[in-house]
Amino acid sequence: MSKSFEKEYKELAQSKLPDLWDRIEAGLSEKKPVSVPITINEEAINNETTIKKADSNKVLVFFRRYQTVAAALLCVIILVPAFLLMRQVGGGIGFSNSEEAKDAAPAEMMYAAAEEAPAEEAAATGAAEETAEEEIVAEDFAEEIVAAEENAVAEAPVAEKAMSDSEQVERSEAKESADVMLYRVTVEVIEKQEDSSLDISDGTLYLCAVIHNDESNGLEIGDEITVLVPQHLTEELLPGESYEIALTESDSRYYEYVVKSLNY
Amino acid sequence: MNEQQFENAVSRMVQGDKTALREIYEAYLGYVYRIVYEILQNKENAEDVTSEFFIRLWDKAEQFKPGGGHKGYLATMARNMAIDYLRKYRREELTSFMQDASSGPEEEAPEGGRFIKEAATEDIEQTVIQEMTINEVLAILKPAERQIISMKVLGELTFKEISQIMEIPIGTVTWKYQNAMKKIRRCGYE
Repeated sequence: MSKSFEKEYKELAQSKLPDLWDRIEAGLSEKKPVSVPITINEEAINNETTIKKADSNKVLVFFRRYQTVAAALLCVIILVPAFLLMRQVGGGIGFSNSEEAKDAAPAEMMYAAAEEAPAEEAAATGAAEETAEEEIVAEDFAEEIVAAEENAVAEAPVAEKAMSDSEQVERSEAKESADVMLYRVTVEVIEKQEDSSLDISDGTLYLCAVIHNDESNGLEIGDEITVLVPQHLTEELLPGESYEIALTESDSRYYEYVVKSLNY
Repeated sequence: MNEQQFENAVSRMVQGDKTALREIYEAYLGYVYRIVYEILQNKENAEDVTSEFFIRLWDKAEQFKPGGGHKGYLATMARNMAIDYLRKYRREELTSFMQDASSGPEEEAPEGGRFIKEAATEDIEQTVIQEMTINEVLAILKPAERQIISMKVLGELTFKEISQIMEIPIGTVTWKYQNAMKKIRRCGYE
């Protein structure tokens, strides 16, 4: 007859057990009931703190990882506007201070303005046809500017050559000034010339004698000259009277000078 | 008591509910007392240590980590408290206990086997052995074997869990268990 060890062993373990509960209960310490919400709140606070720490750590790790890139971006942000500003104000590094740079910058700005200004206006009005026309005008204007610049560059040596010939310049200036040169003299009216054969409708001719001349204009005292007093002066010169007059030379074959003003 | 019931009881203990400890006490007094008694082999000492065990379970309820197997947790705690008791009051017995627990097959003392072997050789003694009670059979087992039997039968722990609790190799545990069962079978038990 075999016996079950497990069965008897379990019965043995549960039998003849000492009653220890009174001793145990006497030795138990009192515990303060901990409310669940407080526990949950503490856990939540702990979790929140942990999350905040984790977030701050992530941010620190992010900044440490990309600090070089951030520094490079900062340099670019500072240097690029500074470079553009220097280029606009001082002609830029590539242009230095040469005359070409001074001339080139406005030309570029004009060209850019010619291209951009119509486009902006077109955008404001919204008229397609006008925009097209203005763009054509702008393009023409820009082409003219470019052509003018090219011509200026091409003609520069010729102009310089012409400018180098000082005598020609002086002669041309003298010729131009001769057309408008005034002879300020004092004359005495000898007589009024009323010759019907002369075709004079612009004024009245007088024969005068130079009685005073301070300028070296080729007239000398005692010279007899024929002058035309234009109609708009309205004054009639009297024979025997002297007048201070301003004269200009005339190409007419009937008189030598034209009176510009009387008693100046 | 299953894992969920034990964890709920511990949660109530944390809240100061003594009835929860009473439920655990009623469910596991025999299990704990047997483990402690197998080590101490003294009724009064076992009662003292078992009482102290449940008081400590109450005090350390907050430190319990669910999911680790509550029977193994109880066995570990009970065994450590019993060994601490030996260390404090009966140091010479602790030395022999620890040597027995860690000894392997080659170091096996032939005390029990010799008793059974000699008994088996004689018919009269064979008859006596067949009529041995459970307490007499347990008496011929070594302390380590009794611990393994108690945790295996009462706690239904695996050999791996027992090896972790006793801090000995799993092979030693299985060998000691099989050796103990041989002795038990020779005493007429299955």
